[in-house]
Amino acid sequence: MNLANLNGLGTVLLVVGFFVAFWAVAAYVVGLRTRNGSLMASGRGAVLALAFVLTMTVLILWGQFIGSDFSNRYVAEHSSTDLSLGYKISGLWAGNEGSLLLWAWLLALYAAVVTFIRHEEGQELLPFVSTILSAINLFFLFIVNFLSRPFVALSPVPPEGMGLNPLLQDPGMVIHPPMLYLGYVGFAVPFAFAMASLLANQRGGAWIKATRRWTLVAWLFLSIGIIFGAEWAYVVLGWGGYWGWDPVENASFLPWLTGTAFFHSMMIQERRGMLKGWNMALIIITFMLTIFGTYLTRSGVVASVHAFGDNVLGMWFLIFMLTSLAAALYLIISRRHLLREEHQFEAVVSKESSFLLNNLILVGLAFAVFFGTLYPLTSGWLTGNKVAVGPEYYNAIAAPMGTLLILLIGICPLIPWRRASVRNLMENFLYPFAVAAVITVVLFFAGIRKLPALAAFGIIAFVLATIAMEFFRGVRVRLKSGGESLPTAVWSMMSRNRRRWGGYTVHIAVTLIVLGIVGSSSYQVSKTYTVGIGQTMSLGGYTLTYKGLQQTRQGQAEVVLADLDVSHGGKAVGKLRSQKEFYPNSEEPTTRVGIRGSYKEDLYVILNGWEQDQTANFKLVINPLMAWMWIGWYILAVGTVFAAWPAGRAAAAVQHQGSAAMAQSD
Amino acid sequence: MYAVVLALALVIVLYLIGRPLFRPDWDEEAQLLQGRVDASEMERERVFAALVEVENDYQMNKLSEADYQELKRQYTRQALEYLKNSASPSPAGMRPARRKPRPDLKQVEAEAEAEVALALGAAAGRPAAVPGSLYCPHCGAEMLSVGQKFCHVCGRPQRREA
Repeated sequence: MNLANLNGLGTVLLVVGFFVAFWAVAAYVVGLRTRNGSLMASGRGAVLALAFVLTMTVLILWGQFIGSDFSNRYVAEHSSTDLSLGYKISGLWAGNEGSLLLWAWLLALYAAVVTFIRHEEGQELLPFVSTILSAINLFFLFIVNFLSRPFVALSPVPPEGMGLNPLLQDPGMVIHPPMLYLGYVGFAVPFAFAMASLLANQRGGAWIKATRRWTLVAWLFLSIGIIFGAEWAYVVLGWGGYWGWDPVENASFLPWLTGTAFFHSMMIQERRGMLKGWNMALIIITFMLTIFGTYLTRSGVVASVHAFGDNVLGMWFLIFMLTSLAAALYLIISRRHLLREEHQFEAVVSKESSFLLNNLILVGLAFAVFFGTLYPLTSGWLTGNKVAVGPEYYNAIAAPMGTLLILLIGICPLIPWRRASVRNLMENFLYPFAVAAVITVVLFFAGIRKLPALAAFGIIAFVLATIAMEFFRGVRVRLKSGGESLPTAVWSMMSRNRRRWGGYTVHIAVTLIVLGIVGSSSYQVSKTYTVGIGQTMSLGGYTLTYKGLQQTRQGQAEVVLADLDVSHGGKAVGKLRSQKEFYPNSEEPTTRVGIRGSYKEDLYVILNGWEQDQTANFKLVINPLMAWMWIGWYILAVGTVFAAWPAGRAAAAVQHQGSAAMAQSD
Repeated sequence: MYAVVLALALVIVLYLIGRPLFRPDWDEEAQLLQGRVDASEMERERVFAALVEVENDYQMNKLSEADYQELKRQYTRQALEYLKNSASPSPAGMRPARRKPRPDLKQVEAEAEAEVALALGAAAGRPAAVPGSLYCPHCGAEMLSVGQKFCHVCGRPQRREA
């Protein structure tokens, strides 16, 4: 260890971080046992100290990336002098060592924020929560200190780095991984609160209330991470899609599914004191799945475009996962008396039962994806042959389950808590059903004849109609009470029930996402052409004229660009450029597709290859309604922020009452 | 130079960790543990929330008249129980007894009924906030009227506890 350079300083700080985390855990444990406030306060100080130390460590590594300090092996392996600043900063999460340090850092920041902000509920759980978060971080600090060290010195120092993996050289690299990590790490907070409530022998649902916002924050980050990953794949990988059911993609989808189930079922515990054990199980599974994702990425047990592949690391993650799971299960079993239900379901048809059904579908889908993801492993163990399941397996399961879920999104808001009468249900369903039926018939006569797509569009119309009906009825009730103008009534209705209306906004977003998925998957058309300069290609009303190739240099990459003029219905609508990028550190070129997007469809052009005489081969794809998928994800983010945003004091009153706050949002 | 940076970092770390150890009167953390919310308080919140939800669901035509009346009766009864209990002596292990003398049970019942009615009124769409009114010292909810005795949200009396 040489303190004459930044590698030495970084290494020592990581060791300090490890001992600080150890102290945090030890001080809290002893302090809690002996009711020693000073020790617990010292543990609290250690949580802040750990965030400080790891922030310093990350800043050092970033400094090395920005300064192209190739004396650090990790920097030399993932950067080069000609990379732009954004990609140099992204180098932190381009490999195992840095991304694990990022994980530890984010966890330390979360822990510091959780420990030091005032919680309206569950404040008494904080010593336990901080202990658990520090214990989790102790594991990550063990990894970055002993197994995957980000500050290994190189000697002699190479004059140039190896550069960033060409596939990672995309703006998505700056946002997608840190958002995913913020989501993964964020789920540690509700997990810690759940375990803390068991450790503190709490029977009530304070942990549920305390973690509602934390869960939404983690879920939001995970959602943003997933969407940026999908957009990245759509633009760069060039197979015409955005989701390939790759094992590591699945690993991010799994906690998203169970996390979604969790923040729906937590409302039942909050409102009715029911599903306590189920909620515990869900948050444990969600947390375990975030670790499982990391295990999958790092162990190399399944082949993936995302995997780092390191068997030793994978083994340690497996040990950590199993140990955490065993500890959590022990706590649940030993404190099962705390999880006794306070109420029972009063009726078969009620909001509670519809939430439970939503949970079963989400968890069932998660299980099916989990099973498919691990199928190469299990088939290898059972038969000796590793067999991977393809997208057909996942699509065959996700399509019917997804349809049911969307249908539930439409039905749930119309069902009251506790019990529903058939007559009221019929009355409430009449208008949305009529709207859906009319739209379905119109679409049928407009040429939509594929039954699954037609059914999906009809269900989407039904869901949007129910939400619209809820909106107008809510506004009408407020207007009837008098004294408010229409805009005031709308705003006060929404701001006083942020959870409910944020939830509805997310539901609208989900239907738009499904609209994009159904449109692009059911009505995608494609055609491959080989054309010379000046020749034209046509697809779906578009005519593309090939204008020739250009060769240029962008950073490290040699880029071959194909220019195309685009017209639609005989009218020029613009130009498109599709390209291949060749990097010195990669044998395979990277594809960057040309996209001309509109609300109706995406024209998607892939340059497959070319000859010496500039004859080029193109694949043209039309993805209908794609834009709605991206728009839906952004609306989802807005809705989640609206739901998670702290209510004003006046609104807090109504929200606290739970006056349907989210009560009718599902 | 890096040794100096390290030394500074260590000083900060030791300060954050060590400072509370040299202040034996540090009881902020221990106090945290004493602030545990009793499960019965959460149940009380749930009952009041349920009342408002029932009213809302009825207003939005999601509940039949019969179900509405039955559920309203059921939860109003429970809400009244909680409000009466909030004026009763605290059992061992629950919140400490209040300093002020307990009001007469009939008076509590009358006030409780008024509060439940107010909560239901808010759910029916009447503006919940009265300008210039106070906030509940327990849950932060804005009061429905000036001089309200019990919080319509958490059900606790609007006198600060001892």
